[in-house]
Amino acid sequence: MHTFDEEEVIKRLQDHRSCREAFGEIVKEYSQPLYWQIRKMVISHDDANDLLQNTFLKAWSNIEYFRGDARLSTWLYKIAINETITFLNKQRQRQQISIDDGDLFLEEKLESDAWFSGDDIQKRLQKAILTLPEKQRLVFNMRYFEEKKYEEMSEILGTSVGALKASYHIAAKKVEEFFTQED
Amino acid sequence: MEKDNDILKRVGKDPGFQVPEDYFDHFASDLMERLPEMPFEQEGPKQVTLWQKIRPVLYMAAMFAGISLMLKIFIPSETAPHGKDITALSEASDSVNNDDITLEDYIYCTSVNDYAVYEYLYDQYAAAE
Repeated sequence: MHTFDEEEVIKRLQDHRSCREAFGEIVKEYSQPLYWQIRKMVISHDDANDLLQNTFLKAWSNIEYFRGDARLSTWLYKIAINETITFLNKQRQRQQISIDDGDLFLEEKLESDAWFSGDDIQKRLQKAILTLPEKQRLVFNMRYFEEKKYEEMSEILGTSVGALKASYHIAAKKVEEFFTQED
Repeated sequence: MEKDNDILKRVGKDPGFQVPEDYFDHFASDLMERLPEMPFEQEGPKQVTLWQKIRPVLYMAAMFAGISLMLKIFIPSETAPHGKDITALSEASDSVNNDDITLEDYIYCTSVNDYAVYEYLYDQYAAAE
């Protein structure tokens, strides 16, 4: 079974003869986790697909500047999250929605997306998450679904571990309140 | 928090999203086909032309030539008898005559200024009268 050796891939990435092949391995390794991170934020599969492509294209065009100081996954997550936030900001601007109002406009996408097959409780969870402000939504998705460590989240989001813990607990409480209100 | 955990346990970790069949396999191969060629991918060391090699040396040589020309123009030569004492000039003239060299040759060689020459000729003329 092929294992992904990040250190070895980064070395090959810095050699012009092997960088393309190494980048292909990175795409295979990280396309799934990055896709799910983006998908949970934008809901629609088509939007997530476009943003994932943009993420890797941007990473490829900036590969010269990746020095290997940070972890590859951290660098890719940062690009993916930037792309996602830029996309959501454009959507909000188009619909004149404030960033603090939650992303309820995405509920329509949840209802109409052909690639959402969740049951009623899963749909309710997604709707509950959509009531959260953007940053809390990011933190909740990373922690709850992907079970990322706070330290890693801190590197990606540039926020202290303490602030992330607080943000997650507030988000989880809001999700709980959403469920109890509906029951 | 206990209640919160209960609710989240009940919901589970599956978000309910799906992707088309073999989406990730196709995604990787499609993306790699679309990936543009980057300048840093070009193999081999850069070809350096002869002009690129000698250009810095030529620039340096031109710069030194320019500096030496400017020094010659703006700083008067120590050998030039600018404002030279007329007695010395007269002595020089005698020696010139002795060696059968014309005055024009002497002026040409030593760059005596015009004023000194006129003054000298005037004195010679006045003495003859």
